[in-house]
Amino acid sequence: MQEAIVKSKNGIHARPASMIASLANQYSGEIALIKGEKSYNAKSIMSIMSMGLQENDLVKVEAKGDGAEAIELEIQKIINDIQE
Amino acid sequence: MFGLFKKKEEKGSFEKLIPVMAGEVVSIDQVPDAVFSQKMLGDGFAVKPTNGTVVSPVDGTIVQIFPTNHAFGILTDSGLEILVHIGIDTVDLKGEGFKRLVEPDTKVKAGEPIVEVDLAFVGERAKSLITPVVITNKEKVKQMTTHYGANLPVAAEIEIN
Repeated sequence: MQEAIVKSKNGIHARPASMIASLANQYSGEIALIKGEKSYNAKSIMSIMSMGLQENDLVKVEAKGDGAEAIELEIQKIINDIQE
Repeated sequence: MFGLFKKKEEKGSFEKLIPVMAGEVVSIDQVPDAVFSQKMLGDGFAVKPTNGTVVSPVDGTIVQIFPTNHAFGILTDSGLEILVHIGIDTVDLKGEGFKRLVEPDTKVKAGEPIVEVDLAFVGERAKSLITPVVITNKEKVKQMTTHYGANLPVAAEIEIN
């Protein structure tokens, strides 16, 4: 499990959601993004968009399977890095 | 855990997508933003609007309306996820020129108004008014047929996997 903070002033809208989902889809196991108590599928653009993530929101990234930590760190980095 | 996105098994079903706005339906390739024209979000079509009322393309449930009201997502009973993105670079307007008419989690019918856009206001400020409509879960699309032209009754027909 890794934690990321949304820095994008516009929140996680269509383009950032597609960037996260396309990275997540390169991984074979399950990946969840967690906001508060709710868990969302990181491989689905619509699921990510439905989180309604805004600037300064905390997101947890939880992957399952081989290489889980590596993909968690990659997704953490992309969420931390999205500026638009 | 992903209950909202649970997929129903409905083999051989079809969805007809109506153009979400009055105007001309064109190829998604014509959208001046690579995230759409290169189908990074999914395949679909785009509308060059002549009227600011944006309606649901299908019967379904509104999954999300972005806080800025410039984009919304719909999930059909057949499991198709459809994103309607009103104009290009419109996220930067922070909601100005957009008014939502329904709230997320609402069940809607095809043709039901979802967002009202001030086309003159947004047209002066955004990169483009062209409005892409894309299927974001391509694994559910067996086949898609698109129709291009002005004021068509149906913009796309999709056979569901």
